[in-house]
Amino acid sequence: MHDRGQLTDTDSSELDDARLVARIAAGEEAAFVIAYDRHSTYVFGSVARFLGDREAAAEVVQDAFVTLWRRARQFDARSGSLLTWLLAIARHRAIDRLRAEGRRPARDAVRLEALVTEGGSGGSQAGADVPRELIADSATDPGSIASRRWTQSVVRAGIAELPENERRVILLGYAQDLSQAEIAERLEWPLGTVKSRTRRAMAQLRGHLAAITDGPDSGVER
Amino acid sequence: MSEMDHGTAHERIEDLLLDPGRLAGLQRSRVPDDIALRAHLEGCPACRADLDGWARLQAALADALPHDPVAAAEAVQPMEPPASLRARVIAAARSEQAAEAPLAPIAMVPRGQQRWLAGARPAWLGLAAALVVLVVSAGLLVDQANRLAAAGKEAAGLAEAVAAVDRVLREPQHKVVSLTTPDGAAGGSISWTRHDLVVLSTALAAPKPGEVYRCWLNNDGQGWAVGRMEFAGDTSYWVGSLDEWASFEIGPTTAFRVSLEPPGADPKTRSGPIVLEAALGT
Repeated sequence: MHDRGQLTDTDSSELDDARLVARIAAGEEAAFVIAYDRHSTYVFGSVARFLGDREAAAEVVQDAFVTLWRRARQFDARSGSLLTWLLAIARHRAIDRLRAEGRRPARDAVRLEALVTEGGSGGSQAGADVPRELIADSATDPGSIASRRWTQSVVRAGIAELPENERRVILLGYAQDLSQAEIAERLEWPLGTVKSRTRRAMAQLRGHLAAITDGPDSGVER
Repeated sequence: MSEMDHGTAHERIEDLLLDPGRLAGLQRSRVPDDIALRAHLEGCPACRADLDGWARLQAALADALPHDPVAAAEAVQPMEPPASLRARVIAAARSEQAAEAPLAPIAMVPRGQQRWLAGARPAWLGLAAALVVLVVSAGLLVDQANRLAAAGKEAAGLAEAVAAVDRVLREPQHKVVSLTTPDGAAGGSISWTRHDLVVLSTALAAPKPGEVYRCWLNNDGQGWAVGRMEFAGDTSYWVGSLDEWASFEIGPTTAFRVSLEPPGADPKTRSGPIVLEAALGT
């Protein structure tokens, strides 16, 4: 690496994605380490949940960050955040790994089926309005299965990143379908506190999950 | 009923976010504020897009969380990477760097002159020559340095493109297609694998100041801006990673396009003419 100089704490907290990646592209190891420290937990949490294998997840995360080091010049901040970019690379690598495992005999193939039945698909609000034929299609298409599983993993990792109190309101609201008033009663918090924590949690999740929430409309060629 | 303004609409959307069911029930709601919000949304694409984003987030949250409280809590427990991973990642990046580091340049000096340079040259001669060069060409050096830096950047970019082509061609599953201009003439090539995509062309004239050759991946009428062509002399190139568009799969109807965008054009919306095109699905 060209430069192993240390950036100060002020530098590391103030560097936005574009400037950080520009420094990585220039060969600054310190900038690379900042990117790792900033995003590795989220990326690892997503991949580990997706693969169900911490060691395999560590390899995927390593691969994703080395790709960042090698291809930093290709990063375009206007197309999305660095986290989104890293997650996209990790997703590709993780799905490749899953496909490679899928070529092995049955024992590993069962794991793919388990991916769908696990999680919130059973009675979730999102699944409730989906036509049965679409559920059948997505349940048999490995691409859809892997894609949905990836989204679930990234969302769970996003919730895991929230402060404890914000995580609790999201869990009660979305896993147990409690209203804000019911959450306030359950946790014995003022209703205003529940609302403000829910708003903060949702805003942070929206920021981290932009690739999921902003949809394919951005960047549409007309 | 008075029209709802932008700020009030956002406040109302934030209120609806608090409970998943309320956002989902917006279309059926008879609450006056909801009716006013619906009216605002009809004429405000920005608020509609914002609301759609929140709705997608809520759907994703509901889909990601098991309804069993214990399973849900376990699913979102913080998960730290192994402590050793940080050192492994840094070491891997360093070894990558070492593997790609260029060899130190070797001076090409005729054999007969080497001895003269090594022993016969008086020490003062070198110093004097250096001083003369420094004084006489100080202004030129600044200009030369800028040109050298630009040339170095171009060379580095082209070297990256060539290295990417090598990487692609080493993959057994790689594919290569020709780019064509609007009048059907050959315009270059695209080679790609599942991970890399490299575009090389000598058919493009250097863009005027402010203009950009933008690259697009297109599927069934929908396109994604994926980058811009860089120039090294007469060669234009773009190196991309399909990793970056994880939701994008190259299918039978996928096309790669290059457009010439005017100064100040929105980087995510094509407004200039297509100048190069290739079908990737063939």
